[in-house]
Amino acid sequence: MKVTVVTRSGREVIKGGLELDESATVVDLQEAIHRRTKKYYPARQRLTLPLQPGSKERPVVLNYKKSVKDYCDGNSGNLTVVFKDLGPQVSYRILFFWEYLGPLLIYPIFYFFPVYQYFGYKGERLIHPVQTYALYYWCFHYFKRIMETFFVHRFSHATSPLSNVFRNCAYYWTFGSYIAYYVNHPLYTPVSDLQMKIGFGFGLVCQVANFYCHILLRNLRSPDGNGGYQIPHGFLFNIVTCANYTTEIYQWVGFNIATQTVAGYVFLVVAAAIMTNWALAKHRRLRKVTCFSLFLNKLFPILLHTLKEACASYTINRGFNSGFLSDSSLYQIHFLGCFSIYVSS
Amino acid sequence: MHQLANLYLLAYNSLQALGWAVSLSRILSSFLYTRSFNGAYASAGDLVCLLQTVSFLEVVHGAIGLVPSGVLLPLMQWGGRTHFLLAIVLRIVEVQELPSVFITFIAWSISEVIRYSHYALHCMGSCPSCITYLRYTAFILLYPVGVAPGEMWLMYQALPFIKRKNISHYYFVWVVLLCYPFLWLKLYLHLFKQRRSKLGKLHGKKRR
Repeated sequence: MKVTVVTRSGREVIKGGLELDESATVVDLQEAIHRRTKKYYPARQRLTLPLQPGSKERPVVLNYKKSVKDYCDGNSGNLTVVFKDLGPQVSYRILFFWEYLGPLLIYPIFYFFPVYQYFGYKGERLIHPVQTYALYYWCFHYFKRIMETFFVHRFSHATSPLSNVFRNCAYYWTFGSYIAYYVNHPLYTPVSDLQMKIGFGFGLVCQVANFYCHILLRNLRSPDGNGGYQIPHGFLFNIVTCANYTTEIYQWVGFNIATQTVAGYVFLVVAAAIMTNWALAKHRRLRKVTCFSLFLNKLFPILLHTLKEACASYTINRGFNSGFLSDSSLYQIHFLGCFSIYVSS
Repeated sequence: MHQLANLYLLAYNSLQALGWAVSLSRILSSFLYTRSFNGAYASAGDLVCLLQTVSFLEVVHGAIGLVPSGVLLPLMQWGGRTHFLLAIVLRIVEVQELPSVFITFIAWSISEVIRYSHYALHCMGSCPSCITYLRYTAFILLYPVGVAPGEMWLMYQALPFIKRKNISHYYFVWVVLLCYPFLWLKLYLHLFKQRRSKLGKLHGKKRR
C-alpha cells in the first residue's frame, strides 16, 4: 500500500510517498520514514491522521502497536499521514538520571565545603546533628531515585523532548541548592531532638512505602515496557490512585518537620502542586470518577469524608441552578459529589 | 438549599463582625485604661489569632463556589495576614508589646467590622447605603495605615529576632518586605476601581 507523508502545512515530507506491505505496522512505517529522512528517528515522529479543515477535534495519533491497514478506513491501498517533528528526544531514564544527579552532588557541597565564606560568613561553622542527618536523608533519597530509575521503573516507549532536560534540571538543581544553602547555613537553628526524630522517622517510613508503591507499579508492566495504563491495586492504591505521589509528598513533609526551612516548605508546596497535576491527569486517564478528591484524599482522608457528605448535594444543585457549568464547577461537583467511589480491588 | 447557604453565610459574617468588634473594644479599653500602646496583643491577641485562622473558611467558600471571590486572591490575602500573625507576632514574644501591633490591630479591627457587617447585611437582603459607603471609603485611610506603620514596621522590627530563630525565615521576611509595597499598591488601586463602580451605582440609583 502507498503511504503519503505530509507536514501540517501540506508539504510532502517524502517525495513520492512510501510503499509498504499490507501487513506493515506503524513501527514499520516509522522506520521507513527514518530510512528516507536520516534525521527523524522514530521517537521524533508524531504521525496523525489528517483532520477535516476547520475541524475542532483532536487529531488521531497513530499507535505504534497497530498495523497501518487499520487506519486505511476502507480507502483501498492509500493512506495520508500528517507528520510532525517533535525535536530531539531523550529517554526518560536519561532525563531522570540528570535531574536527580544534581541534588545528589550539589547538597553535599554546601555541607562539606566552606562555601559560606563567599556569602560573607567568615569563621568556623558549627555543624548540628540534624544537619548531618539531613545530609544522609537527602542523599539517600536521591540515590534511591536514581537506583529506581535504572532498576525499578519500567518505562514505556515514551520519550521526552531534549529541552525538558534543561527545564527539569533547572528545577531540581535550583531547589536543591536553595534548600542545601539554608539547611547547612552557619546561622541555622536546629529544632528539638524529638521533632527531628519524628520528622526523619516519618519521612523514612514514607520513603519505604514509596519504594513499595514503585514496585507495585512496576509489576503492572511487562519488562519491555508494554502494559499501557492500568489501575494499580493493593496497599495504598486502594485509597488513592497515585499512592506513589502521596508517599513522596509526605516524605518531604517529614524532611521539613525535621529541618524547618522556608526553602524546604516552598519546595514541598511546589512539588506537591506538580504531583497533584500529574495525579489528576493520570486519574483522568484511568477513567475514575473522582477528581480533586484524589489530591485532598492524600492530605485529609477522614476530614474529607465528612466534608464531602455535607456539601455534595448543595453544590450540585447550585451548579445546575446557575444555568451553566464551567470546567471549574464541574471539578467542584466531582470533588464534592462523587468521590465516595474509591478504587476497589 | 439556597436559603441554608445564605443562613450559613449570614451566621459566619455576623460572628466575624462580632468577634472583630469585641477585639476592637478590648484594645480600645486597654488603651484607655493603661494610656499606653503596648497592650494590644495582650488584650486581644488570642481572639485575633482565632478570627484570622477561622477566616480560612473564606478561601473554602471561594473554592466551592459559595461566594464569587475565587480562590487565589482570598488565599493570598489570608496567607499574608496569617503569616504575619502566627509566624511573627505569635511566635516572637519580644515584638508583642510594640506600638506597631496596636496600629495593625486597630486598622484590621475597624476594617473587618465594616467589611463583615457589609457582607452580613447583604445576606439579610440589602445593605444600607451608609455601610456600603463606609466599606468602600474607610479603606482609603485604614489600608495604608495598617500596612506601613502597622505590618511592615512590625516585620522590620521583628527581623533581628527572626534571624536568631530561623535564618531561612529571616531572608524570607526580607523578600516579603520588599514585595509588600507592590502587592499592596495593586490591591489598593483595585479597591479604588471597585469603589468607583459600587459607589457610582449607588449615586445612580439616588438620582433617579
